[in-house]
Amino acid sequence: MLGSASDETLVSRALAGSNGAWTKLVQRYERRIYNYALRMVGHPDDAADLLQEVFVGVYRNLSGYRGDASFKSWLFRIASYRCTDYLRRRRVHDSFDENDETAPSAADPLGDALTTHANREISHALAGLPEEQRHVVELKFFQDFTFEDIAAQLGISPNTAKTRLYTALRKLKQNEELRHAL
Amino acid sequence: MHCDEVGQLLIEALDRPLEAADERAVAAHLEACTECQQLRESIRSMQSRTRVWHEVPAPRWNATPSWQAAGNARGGPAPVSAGLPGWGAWLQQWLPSLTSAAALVVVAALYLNGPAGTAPTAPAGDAGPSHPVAARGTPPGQLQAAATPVSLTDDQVGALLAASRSERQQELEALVKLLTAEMDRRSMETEQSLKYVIAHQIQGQRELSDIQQRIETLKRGAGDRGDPL
Repeated sequence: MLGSASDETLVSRALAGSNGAWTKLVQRYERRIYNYALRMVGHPDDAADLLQEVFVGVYRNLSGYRGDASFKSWLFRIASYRCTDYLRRRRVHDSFDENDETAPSAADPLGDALTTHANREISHALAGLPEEQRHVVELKFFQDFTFEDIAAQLGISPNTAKTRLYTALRKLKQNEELRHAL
Repeated sequence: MHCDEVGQLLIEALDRPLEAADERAVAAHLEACTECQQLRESIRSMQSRTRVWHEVPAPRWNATPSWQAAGNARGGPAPVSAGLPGWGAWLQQWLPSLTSAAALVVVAALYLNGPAGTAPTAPAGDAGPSHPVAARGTPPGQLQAAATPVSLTDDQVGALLAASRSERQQELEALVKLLTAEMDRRSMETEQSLKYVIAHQIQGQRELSDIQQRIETLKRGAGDRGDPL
């Protein structure tokens, strides 16, 4: 019953007090959000923290969801915001712990969850991009959002989203060639 | 058509199919332009990467936690009685199994590295369940939901998460201490077993030596009397 319900129906029921509907919403998207977080922050523990933060944010703002955009789009808007906030906090934290070799590094996004060669390779490639470009690559290729959606989620214009993607693709190609040359 | 236009069209083609005229112009340009070919290649490369990414399951966490109380205060879903998710619950559930498994590994290592004839010490304890059985929604018994709904700010939520992380760290440290103690205990047991075996070997050698001396004495006695042995 709930399994086939639309996201919007589940949101309505969750707002009416249905724990089952809320749990179903979480189950529907937690894996996707976790993998998104894994690619964005590059560390399984941090991705797990981010997963929780995203759903805390979703829950607290659920009553503010108007249905103007799809739930998925709205969810990723929160996820992008939380992710940006997280990366900003990590930069601050890292600046205090520059000598801390155990601190997670975007340049070395390896962890137990990144078990396959493909995942490691993709994480390395994304880690080589500036955060704002990484966001657009993630939302376009892995989440398959339109540029309009991406623009709304990141608070930029569609043209800026396209330019960021264009620049990111050029950089990815350069990095790949550099890696092969070494 | 210039490279800028082609690049823009290649990017826009990710959203919608190009018009036939644009498609032909792009194709013609691509045949002669290496730079734009590289852009197209980069797009294809990213598209193929999305297919090879191995989806990782989300870690276990409680989807109906106490912070729902905060949402309820703001018109969110009704709160349920449950704690914040976490590794704490996970660790609590798996600690006995982890300890047993670690002890088993230590004993196996000691056995393999030990001298020949050393009897291995049987691992104590239950190996634990072979598969996690934690059910989603099971309250881990931490940070229980407030009886009355409270409104949490971002800072408070951050503080709760920080507390959860700190707790996880403490639990991991406790686990390390436990494992170290278990390793020491196993090591001591193995050492005692070794001493026991060596002591028995020494005693056996003494007894053997005594028997040999008695045989020699008997032989000499028989030789003196001229008896055939």
